[in-house]
Parts: sequence; C-alpha cells; structure tokens
Amino acid sequence: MNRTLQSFLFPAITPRFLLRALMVALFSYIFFGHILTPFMIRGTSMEPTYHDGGVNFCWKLRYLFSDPKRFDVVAIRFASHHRMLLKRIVAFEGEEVEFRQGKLFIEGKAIDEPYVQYPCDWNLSPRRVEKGCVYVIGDNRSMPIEEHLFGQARVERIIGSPLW
Amino acid sequence: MVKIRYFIMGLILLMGGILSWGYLFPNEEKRVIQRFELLSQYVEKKANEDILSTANRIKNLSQLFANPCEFKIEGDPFYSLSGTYTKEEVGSYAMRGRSYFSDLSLRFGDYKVEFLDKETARVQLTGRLIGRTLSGEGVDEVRELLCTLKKVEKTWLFARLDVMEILKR
Repeated sequence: MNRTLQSFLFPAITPRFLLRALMVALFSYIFFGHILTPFMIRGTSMEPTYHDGGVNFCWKLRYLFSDPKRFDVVAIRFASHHRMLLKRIVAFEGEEVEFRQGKLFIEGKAIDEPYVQYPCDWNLSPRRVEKGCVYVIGDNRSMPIEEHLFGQARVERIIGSPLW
Repeated sequence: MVKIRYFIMGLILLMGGILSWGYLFPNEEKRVIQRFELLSQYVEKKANEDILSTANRIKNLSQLFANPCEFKIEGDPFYSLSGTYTKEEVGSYAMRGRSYFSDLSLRFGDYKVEFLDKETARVQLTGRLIGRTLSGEGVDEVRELLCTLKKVEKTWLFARLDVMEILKR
C-alpha cells in the first residue's frame, strides 16, 4: 500500500484531523438534519408521482422566501420531526373544495389534474378552507375516500418539499 | 501529563455529580416527563403477561390520571375515546385496549413542556405505539399528542389528553 493511500485510510489522529472530522460531522448534522433531510416514502397515497419505498430529500428552505403554490407537493409535519406526510396542495384559505364523481372542484370550477392517473369516484360535499390552512390531497385516489388521509393542514406545518 | 490526568478525572467526577444531582433532585419538568415514562411502563405488554401483572399494571396506570380526566382521541383507526372519564374508567378502557394486543409498547418523545401556572403543565409530545394484535397484525402508529397535567398533592396527574388532528377534512 503506498503512503498516500495509507495516510488516507488510516490518518494520524492529530488535533488538525480531529478538528476537521468535527467540522465535517457538524456540517453533516446541520445540512442533512435541518436543510436537506433524507426520507423514505411509505405508502401509496402519492402514486404514481412518488412510489412506495422511494427515497428522496426534503428541501426545507423551499419556502423560506416564497409561499407554497397550488399543485406543489409538500412535506407536512405529522408527528415529531421524523414523520411527514407527502401531499399536493390543491386549495388555499377561503377557497371552497368539493369532489363530484371523482372530479375535484375548487370554487365550483372543475380542476384539471394531470398527475391523477388512477380512476377515482370520490364525492365530498363542499367545504371552505379555514384561515391559515391549505387543502392537501394525495395523487392516488383509487382507494375509498375513507381510507385516504387528506384535508386541511396549518401552513406552519409545511416543512418543505421533496427535492425531485 | 499528570495534570491532564487529574483534569480528566475531575471532569468525569463533575459530570457524574451533575447527572446524579439531576437524577436525585429532578426539577418540575423532569417530574412531568417521569409521569410519561411511568405511563409507558404500565401500558407495555409482553407476550406472556400473567393476570396478576395485568391487574397490577392497570391499577398503577389508573393512579396516573386525575379524577376526572378528559380524552379526545378521534379518527384513529385503532382506538377512539372522547369525553370525560373517572380514573377507574380510564383503567378499564386501558385494560380493554391492551386486550386487543398480544404485545404492546408505547413510547414517548420530543417533549415540549410548558407550565401554564404552578400546578398546570401542558406537554406537546410524540407517542409511538408498537405492537402486535391477537390476530398477528403488526401495529406501528405515531401521533402527536397534547397533554395537560395537574399537580394534585405534589403529584402530577394526567388531566387531559388530545391526539392532534393534522389533516381536517
């Protein structure tokens, strides 16, 4: 083994090395813990856009200087900082949301949703999104409406968006 | 070299002293968190739990609750409980809830403790229920909880428990 490789694989534990290792650990903790958090998708509620078992990163600075937009896919804090819901924003505060025969209506107008690929037969009576909330739904609406977790969430619960 | 050794030993002793002090003389926040740890301990169920152990756990568990205690657990696929209950009723509901599982554990974390006054604490936390039902189905559910504890005769008791509704239809 040549000297360069040896010193790379088995570095001398010097104060300079320890400082460098500490800096790398600190940077990784801040970056991957609070800025770009890796997560694994569990469940099929965002199929076919995001698949069960897929890996992605939550970009937490996404809404630092801008507000969430309609049809953005967002990560919503569910419980602790490790459990998130991945959903798509369809309506904002004050807007009326309704489902008729599987078709989404916002303020009484039918919405074209190209990301919904599976058949849907949901019916949901009209309801208005409360102040400080957004209405979020998953892309996979092939299951009965009772089995799909969707509804209005507080805006401050949005912690970011998936990186891709 | 000798000086460094004494310094390290002193540092270890100091840390040990601080930890022992914290353990032996907990502050109010620690006392509140200890109640959740006890609740977790009493809810836990092992596969071969005998009836005496069950009775003991339920008796101890009901002692953690104020009389009456308010619950708001709604929209949960496994357990739903809303209203005001006596601690005996809480015990019987807990017994019924545990009976659905062959093994069960309830863990708490991410505590945010806030004291509304000297005798009222509000705690926002995460609860994780892991277990296996009698039919063999695995359960791993995480919820955000909001609890209110009241200090009654120098003991913190659970007075209200809400499961936070994240998505409201």
